[in-house]
Amino acid sequence: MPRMTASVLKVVAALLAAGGDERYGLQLMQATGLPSGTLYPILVRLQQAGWVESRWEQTDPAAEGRPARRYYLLTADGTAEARREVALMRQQMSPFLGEAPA
Amino acid sequence: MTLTLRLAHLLLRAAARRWPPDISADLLREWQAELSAAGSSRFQILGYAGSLAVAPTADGPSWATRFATVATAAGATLLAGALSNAVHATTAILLLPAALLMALAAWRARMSPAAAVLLLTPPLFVFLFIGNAVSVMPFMGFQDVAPAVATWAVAMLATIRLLRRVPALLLGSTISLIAATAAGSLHAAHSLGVSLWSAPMWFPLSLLPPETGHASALLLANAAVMTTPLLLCTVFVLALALPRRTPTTTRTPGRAVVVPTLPRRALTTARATGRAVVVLILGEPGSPRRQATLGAATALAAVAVCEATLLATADPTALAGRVLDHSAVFGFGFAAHPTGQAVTALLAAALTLRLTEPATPR
Repeated sequence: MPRMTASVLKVVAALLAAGGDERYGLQLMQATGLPSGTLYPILVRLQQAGWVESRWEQTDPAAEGRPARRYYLLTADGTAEARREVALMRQQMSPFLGEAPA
Repeated sequence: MTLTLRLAHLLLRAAARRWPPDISADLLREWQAELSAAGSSRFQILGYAGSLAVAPTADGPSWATRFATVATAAGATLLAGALSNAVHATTAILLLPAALLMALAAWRARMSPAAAVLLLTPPLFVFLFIGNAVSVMPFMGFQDVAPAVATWAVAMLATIRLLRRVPALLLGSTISLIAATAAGSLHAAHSLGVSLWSAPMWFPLSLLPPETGHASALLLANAAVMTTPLLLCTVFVLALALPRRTPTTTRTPGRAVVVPTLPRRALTTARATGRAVVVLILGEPGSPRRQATLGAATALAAVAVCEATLLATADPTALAGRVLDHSAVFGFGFAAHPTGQAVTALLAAALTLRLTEPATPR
């Protein structure tokens, strides 16, 4: 299991928010506000932990006018773990946010 | 391709090289694919690539570890400076325990010798260049300190990269010190009219009691201020570079267990008692209480040393009289400013915490 930091939580929350859609690195950078140097090592760690899987875009670079991108998606295990971690974080933060614990 | 994009691709390649070979090619391909969409301004493009070039890798040292390593090296430089002052202010014989202390510090510092050279060089330059609150040394400007420190760094890097055997490492280090002293004294030699043929002798002579009355006396007094910290930093690097034997725990089968003699038992008991008392007062090794106490105590000691050194170097007239007999202590000039003193205290505390933390993570 990857060490849960605020940055890791942001990444898994962004992937959860995508609702099963794939995201590439720049989209995740924009969604989380994390710099590239923080995001990609997290994605590598999440892949090593089996929470995230990636695939290369099947496209013709000449036709698209850009190189193929790498897309990321939460695995089934990753989705369950990410939901649990995000819920836990929300529960821990609820007293400070004035919300009733779930 | 614009210069910005070329530089960004260079940074990406440098970033990818830091990752394990089985994933670095894929990462580079991914980053290069996204670079074109990273933004239109130079700031965005270089920000994207630069962040990857300097960020810790997934399994590499974190920013906290990196900071601790840099602070340890800077703290070691300050220690070399403080020990140099102690040697200059008292007796040259103190150089031996000072060198031993630097070697012990290196063995606990946990860094590679090459990293040590690279990390010691900037603080060494800063220490020598801005350390003097009152400019009593006539040849301690940029054109003196920069060549000395740069030559030392290049020669030491070459020594630890190219040489493996202990005698060769010792010889290479000595040559590095001779070259650094010569490079740092060329400007002084030119100004004082000292022959360059004597340059190889400037390093050993700067460590000896001086002969007054010669034109070279001022050159050697000046060089002595640089050579002692350089020598102690060299010991630090050498201690990391020298091959170390790992203790073996094999025991000859069938050999009877040796019962400790009475003095040995008494010594063991005394050690255990002492350790228990230290644990009672400071806490277990690596515990937050012990770390906080040690850090605070070291920071306070560093401030006290700074104040004492500033007091000793407060009178330029008295200090000038000690220049020629090599007993002038080099001032922690930066410690005259509260920020400088705070940084000195912080670095000293960081060094102590690094040297006293348990070898295995708790």
